[in-house]
Amino acid sequence: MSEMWINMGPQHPMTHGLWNLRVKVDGERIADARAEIGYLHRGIEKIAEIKTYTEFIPLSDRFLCYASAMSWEMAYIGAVEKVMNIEIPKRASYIRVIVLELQRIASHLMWLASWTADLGLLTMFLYAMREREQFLDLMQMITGGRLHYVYMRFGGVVKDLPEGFKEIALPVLDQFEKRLRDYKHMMDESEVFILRTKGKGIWEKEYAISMGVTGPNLRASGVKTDLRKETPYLSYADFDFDIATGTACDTYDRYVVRMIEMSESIKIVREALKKLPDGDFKLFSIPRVPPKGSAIFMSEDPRGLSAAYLVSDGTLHPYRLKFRSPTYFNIQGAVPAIIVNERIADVPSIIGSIDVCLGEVDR
Amino acid sequence: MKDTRSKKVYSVVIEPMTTTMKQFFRSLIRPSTLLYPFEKLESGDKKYFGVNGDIWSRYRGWITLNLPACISCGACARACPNKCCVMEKVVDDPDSITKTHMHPRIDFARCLFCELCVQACPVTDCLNMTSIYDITEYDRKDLFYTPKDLYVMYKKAKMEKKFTTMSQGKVASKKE
Repeated sequence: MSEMWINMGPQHPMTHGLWNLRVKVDGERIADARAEIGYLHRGIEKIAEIKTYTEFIPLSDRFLCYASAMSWEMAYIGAVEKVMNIEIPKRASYIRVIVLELQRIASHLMWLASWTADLGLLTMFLYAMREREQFLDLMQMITGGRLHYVYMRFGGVVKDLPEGFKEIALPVLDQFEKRLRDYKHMMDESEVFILRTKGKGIWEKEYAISMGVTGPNLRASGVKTDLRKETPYLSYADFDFDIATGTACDTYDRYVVRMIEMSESIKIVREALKKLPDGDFKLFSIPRVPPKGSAIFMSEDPRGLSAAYLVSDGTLHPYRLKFRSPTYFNIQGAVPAIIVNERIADVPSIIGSIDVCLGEVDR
Repeated sequence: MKDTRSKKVYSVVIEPMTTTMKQFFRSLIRPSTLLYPFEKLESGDKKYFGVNGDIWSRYRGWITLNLPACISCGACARACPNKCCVMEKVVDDPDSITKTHMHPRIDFARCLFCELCVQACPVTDCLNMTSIYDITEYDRKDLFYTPKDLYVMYKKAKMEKKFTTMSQGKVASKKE
């Protein structure tokens, strides 16, 4: 009778949302685990069928991941644009790249803050949250919202970049790049941090691929894949950036990959601001409703591969809208596999390292 | 042995400490936080830790209505995603000049602040967004704003110059 089941969740600081992780412990070791999700189900895909296409834009960034709203807006709007079969202006696509990459940095900083708080490094939690504040300020300057930016429209974006945005954004990026180096150094020199992350939560490459794991988690397992490079959507083909990969497949590598991704995003934003072309920020002659047809649009979310599948029957409302959320697959791939045979005290840090966002898992 | 230990003391204790001390002195010059109810974030404020630009000119805050300018077209009510903005008849008000006296009322307890109604409004300086962000009530019924209440808010926001810029895409002539 030394084995027993423990419920971690639904209300537990480790879960970052509402889900229940049931672990079977044998002393300190984890013998088995189950994930129970569905506490946050709001029926977003059904709601989409009674909303018009424009009305769904504010909902697409609320109902899906609230920490990276812009990338989900992109997934939805990309699917609608694909059905409409329109080409957006160059400037609009550059602006989209800028806001998406700022969103990626903000989302990764949110992950860094919550994950280091799981580990007990509250200093890093405060620093990361404060740096995120600057990126939220930049987003507020462009879009008018701090978390829910109703910024993209079919055929472009709703407002042009504000005047003098480049002069304000570039010092922020420079400063952040310097501090990111400082923070990474500070964390890497911490003996406790290394002991708690290195060699913990090994995610085998073949297993991760077979479970549909994507994004920084898969890259940390040594697979060099990134949709921004492989099938460039928007104007990602114009920019020069690297794909960060890990080799050890452990918690520490997932941290390193995200830290490198942040500095790569800084590079992209800087280049996009430099090369920002003149022209329209929106295509004004777009059809009122998409024609009959269906399309799937895939994009690289901060958490992995996100996709929206839209079936249109030519009416005012979508006939069917399906979202593929990366975290759903990441949790399925993670839960028994990467925490089995670890100690129970390491579970929060390992689960935290896969960047869980429950808003998009349950939808 | 001794040499590696001193190296370790440097990298584990002193170097991280320099990072944290740097942050400590920086926060003395520019604090990261505000004493919220006593100090408020205003536009153009450079005291706090943030970007040095005007971050409030596009803010999507409280919605106000200039009642005499409203033409009762109902575009805002049609654009609202969750129908919290509904046309309502205004009785016995000299400010309402249209034939039908139908003007939008907004249930702010359900409002998304998505700006779709403001972008749909065809009249210059009628339905406006402001940078007011901190209006809270004890009862959710108090967040139910009739057209008259929205006009009171409009006058208040005009006095404090809180209006934000309108969408550039929809109506080019719309300003402040």
